[in-house]
Amino acid sequence: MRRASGSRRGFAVATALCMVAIAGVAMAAVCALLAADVRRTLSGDVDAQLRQLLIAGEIDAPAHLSDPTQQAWDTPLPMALGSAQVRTSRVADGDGARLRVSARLGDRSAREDLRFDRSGGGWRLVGAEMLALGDGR
Amino acid sequence: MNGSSLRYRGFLLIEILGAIVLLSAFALIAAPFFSETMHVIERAPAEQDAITRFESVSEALRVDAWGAASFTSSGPSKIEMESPGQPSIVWRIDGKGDIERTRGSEQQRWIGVGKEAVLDIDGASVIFRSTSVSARDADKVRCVSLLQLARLRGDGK
Repeated sequence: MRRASGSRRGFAVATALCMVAIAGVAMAAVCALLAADVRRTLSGDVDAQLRQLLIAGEIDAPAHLSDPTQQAWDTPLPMALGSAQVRTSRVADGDGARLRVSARLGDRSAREDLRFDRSGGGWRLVGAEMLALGDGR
Repeated sequence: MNGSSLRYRGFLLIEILGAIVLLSAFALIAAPFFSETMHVIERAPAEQDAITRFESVSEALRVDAWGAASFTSSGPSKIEMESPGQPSIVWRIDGKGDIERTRGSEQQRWIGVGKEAVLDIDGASVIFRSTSVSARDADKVRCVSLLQLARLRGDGK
């Protein structure tokens, strides 16, 4: 009788362990999927913010273009953006101006090339090329 | 003898019925969750692949739209993007849901990514959105043109 109850207990323990293992594997798989989704959502947010920073760099650029001594400058950003940074540098000058805007937010960055032509008394954007978005993954 | 018969008497019918009822209730509640979990795990690789391909399309579309001076729609889900000094780029979703990007002689194709999706022009942006019945407003990707935004700002709009 003792032997029979011992084997029954062994079976119960084995079944319980199997169930725990199945639940554990399922939970691990679902958690991995959830983590990937969370990461993708967060990086989507950061990428959207990086595009906004590139637009800010483009808006700020004409104010610096007429001063040829300025080879690179930082665009002032609201304090709320914390560690965000937008840096613009001249790549080449010909008839117009060619600039490279680099935006950084946390460990991700984006870059674009802009071409400006003189238009009347100011500058007009005539070309834009996004070089990288969301680098640093 | 009496003690030993009490110790090894087994289970009462009511106890077994109680256990069966409890187990049935647990099974009824847990089975759909378990089956859904298994379904999610089974479909995960295909979903990940679809997401990766969708992100690749979105990124290429964003890059093309960013520098486009104009968007023209030349048919349903067919958009032509013109950039100064560059060959025009045509984006198209065909009847099978394949997305095709043509730039001069260079062509890229994403098989099946555009099923239940359309390409639209909305002002200074191209919208890649789902037409699925369960689609929400968030199920769309807006790809802005920096050149057209700058032009709109210049026009004071």
